[in-house]
Amino acid sequence: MDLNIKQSGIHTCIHHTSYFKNRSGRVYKRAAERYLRTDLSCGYAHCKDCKDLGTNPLLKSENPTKNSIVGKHVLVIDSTCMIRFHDLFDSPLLKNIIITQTVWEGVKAKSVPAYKKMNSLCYDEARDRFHVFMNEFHYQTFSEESGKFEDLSRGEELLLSTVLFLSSHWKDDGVTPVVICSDDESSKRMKKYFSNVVTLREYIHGFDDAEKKCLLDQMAAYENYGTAAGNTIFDEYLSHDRVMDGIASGTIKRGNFNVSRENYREASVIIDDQLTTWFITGKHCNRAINGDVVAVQLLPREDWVAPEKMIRLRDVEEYVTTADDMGNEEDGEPKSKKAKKNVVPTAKVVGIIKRNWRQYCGMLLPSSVKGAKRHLFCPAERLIPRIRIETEQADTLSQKRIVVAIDHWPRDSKYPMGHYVRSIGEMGSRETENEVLLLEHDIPHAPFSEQVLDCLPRENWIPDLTEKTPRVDLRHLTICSVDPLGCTDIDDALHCTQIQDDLFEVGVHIADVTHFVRPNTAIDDEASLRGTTVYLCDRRIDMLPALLSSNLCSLRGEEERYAFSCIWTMTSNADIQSVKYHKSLIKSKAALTYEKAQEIIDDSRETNDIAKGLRFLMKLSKVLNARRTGCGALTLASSEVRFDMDWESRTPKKVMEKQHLDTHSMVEEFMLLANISVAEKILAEFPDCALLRRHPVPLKESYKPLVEKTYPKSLGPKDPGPSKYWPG
Amino acid sequence: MEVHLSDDEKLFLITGAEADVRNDGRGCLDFRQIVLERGVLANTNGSCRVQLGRTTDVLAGIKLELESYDPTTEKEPKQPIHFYVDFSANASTQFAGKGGDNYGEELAATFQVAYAQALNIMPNLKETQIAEGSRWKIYVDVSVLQWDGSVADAISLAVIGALSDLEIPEVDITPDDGGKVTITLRRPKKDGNMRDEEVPVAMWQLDVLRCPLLLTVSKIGTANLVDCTPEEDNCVRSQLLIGLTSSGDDFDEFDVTCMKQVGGGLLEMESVEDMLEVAKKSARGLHKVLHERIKTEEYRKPGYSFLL
Repeated sequence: MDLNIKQSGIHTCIHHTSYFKNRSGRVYKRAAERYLRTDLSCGYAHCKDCKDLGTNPLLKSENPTKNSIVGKHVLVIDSTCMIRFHDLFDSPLLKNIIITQTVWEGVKAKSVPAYKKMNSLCYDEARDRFHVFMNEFHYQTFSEESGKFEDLSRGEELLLSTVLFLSSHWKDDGVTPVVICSDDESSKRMKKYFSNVVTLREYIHGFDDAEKKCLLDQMAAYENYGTAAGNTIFDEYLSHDRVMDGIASGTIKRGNFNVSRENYREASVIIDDQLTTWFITGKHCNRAINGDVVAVQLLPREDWVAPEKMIRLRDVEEYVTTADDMGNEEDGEPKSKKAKKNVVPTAKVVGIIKRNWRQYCGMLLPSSVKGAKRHLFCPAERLIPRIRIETEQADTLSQKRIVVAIDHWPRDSKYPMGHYVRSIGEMGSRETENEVLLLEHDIPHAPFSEQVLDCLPRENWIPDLTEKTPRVDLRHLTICSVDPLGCTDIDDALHCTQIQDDLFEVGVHIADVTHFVRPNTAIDDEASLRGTTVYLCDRRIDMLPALLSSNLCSLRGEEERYAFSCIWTMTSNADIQSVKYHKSLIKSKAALTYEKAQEIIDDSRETNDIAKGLRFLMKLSKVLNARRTGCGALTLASSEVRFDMDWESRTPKKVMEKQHLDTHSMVEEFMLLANISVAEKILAEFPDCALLRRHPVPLKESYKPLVEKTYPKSLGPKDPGPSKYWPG
Repeated sequence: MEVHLSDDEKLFLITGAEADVRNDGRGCLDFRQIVLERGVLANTNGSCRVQLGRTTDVLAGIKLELESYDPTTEKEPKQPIHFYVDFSANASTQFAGKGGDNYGEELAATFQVAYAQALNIMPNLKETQIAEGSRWKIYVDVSVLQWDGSVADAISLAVIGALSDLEIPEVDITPDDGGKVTITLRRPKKDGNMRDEEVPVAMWQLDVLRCPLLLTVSKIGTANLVDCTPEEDNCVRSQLLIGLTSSGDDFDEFDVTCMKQVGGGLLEMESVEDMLEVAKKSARGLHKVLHERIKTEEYRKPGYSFLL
């Protein structure tokens, strides 16, 4: 080494090599030159050698001497102390403390709150009590691998080489370094090589000060806390082969992992056709995410627990938990209800057979560390856990809805690790929130492709009367449609005329979409992908392009449209005399709303064909309804809501439940009748390929929750009756 | 450095070689002085520099990579060592620009052939197969810094040196989702709450004892020579590049792992056998000194790199 370099305080150059694996699974070797220095101060205020080398705050005032074995001493703490008990170091009783560079880096990597505390203590609040000793750059204490301390951990090894140096460095000054460690084990190990090792508890016990009680209490509060820092939280998964063997031998079952909607820490897995459900709680969920196909194993009976039967929502419980306290991700394990009552078969996840990860919409949780890179992401779907991501642009993203993908879930992390994919837009804006809804429910909402649009007929399409397929011309009939206000896709229409004294002709006409959407065309594929038209508050995502859905396949008033008709002749008792089914060409006379139709029926002054037809229909529908309910039909009341929109600004003003009018059930009744008649016809004509929906008699097990709830009140159906009591 | 010799000079050189006296005083089976030095590039996982006669200068560096593959399609373990040879444009005027690219590829392909059976030759090489779906890949990058003849021989020494210098991290395997595994570096010491990557990783090394040596044997006149200088290359009738691996551990018997004729010229079968004998004879000596060196070499102190 050149002389001029030596004079600048550099002692030697070493190669410092470390190996690490990054997040994408690559293994790296990092080799860096490290220049060891001779001019790093030990921190002792009266040290002759170091007096010109930086600020030396230590031992300006002495430690409370009574307490310990030695006289003048300096404390050298280990990183576990700092991580677990960092709040204790607020106390001025603990002073003359050396934090080594190794400890500094360790704390920084393992616990953010402890690091924040340490940083502010050393460089802000308590500069006179702390000194940071750069042991890894000091030529006598750098982290050379020596075989000397084989039974020590690496951290202890480096700590010892520092104190051994310091004790020889301060020999003439009569100052002794004292190692403060966090647990007895570590203390015992290090004592073999250096006598002045005490645990923090022992050290505080030695104080002759009233305040020590307070410190000890504080310590106790942290003691049964935080031992997990750096430890793995979750069990290892079994190997694929063992899972498969287990499934083959029946000790392991596979099933879908379903997180409870009421309590995010509980989940269940249905393991067989008999709907046997195993209950999973807390850590036993072992990194499974809602929807994953998991391998589960039953716990021994004494470990079975009862579901908590209380609602736990992540948002509420973790409201204050912000992104930065990752060191203390203490999972307050649900106080396992050891009450041996009501326990259910409880299992644990031993492996994941198939992940159900997708991309999730949501937002970043605010972080209290400024400029932090690691953040917690909160998905919109509440069955999904929070996801830890790394991003440099947290400030810009904090007000946005973003999309995040999960990469993996390490065993030592409470949360899965993911990465930022893209941002959707400003939080709270209508477009963004709509987009989130669509993405979260996996609704295809891109504009229709060229190929799909190519399948459309021309804009100025008119019915082709010379068409070969037999199509009955029903344009002369007084047909009308009844739909909600503002409806543009009118898919059904009705008519009714009296043909004899007690004989009516009733028709249901359904828009003939199949004329425009032929099988195996691009438009057909797209429609089957979309499946349904989705209504958002201010817009609609069509299943078919608007030309079809709200024009050519919409049975608008006074326009000629293709339809499928089902025409009955029936008596006023609604006894069906005959049915006809055919394609037709119709011309609706009026497109009515439910309210308008009701008005016409109620207004006795209206006597035109439409009014007459509607009144007949109403009468017949009441007969049909009475008959159907008499046969045990079940009414499943689901309330429909309607938005009152301010269409100018496209903002919803209020939400209201749809009012139920008689005209609603009138239309419903005839649609049901059409379905029934058509189903019968299909079954008669195509018995081989008719699809029928059949609900099996419910299993006894399915009644269990109901029976359990109602039995004490002796209301319950102890024995489920015939299936007619069951939906469908 | 292209060499042009007059006919008289050639005649002098050839007759000299036939009389077992070469221009620089060596005998036909003598190598120039070999300098082999390992651990020269701190940023590689293993490295070695070889000089022949202080002028031919070759540097080999190894990069390790953790590779994941599809175990259902690749049932048989694959030879994990891959070679790349690059001729520095400064090595000789003929390599200026892209001049060395073809030769480099040719040499790399030859080494690939010579090491094709590496899984059988190197007893613990199959341990690079860590788990089903994960394996180490060993990329050997060779850079020819100076060319002064016999470059293939120098490379083969540098490759063995680098492989012997290679340290491969030991790993722990834990099962993960869907039959996959997670691989973590094995750090035998507990960390005691310090940064994980600062805790040393356990390493293992390859057994390079039987790694193939590649020797160029040149026919000059009726004599067979090893380690030719560029002047001698000028007079060569025919050249063979022979890869040899020791059949046992005693460097007595050798198996041929590859043979390649370099340049033009015709060879009788008899001559080929003669040249093989020559190669085996010099391999015997070379193997011994090489492994002696590998055993006893002391690494340079950091900060004293040959690059400075």
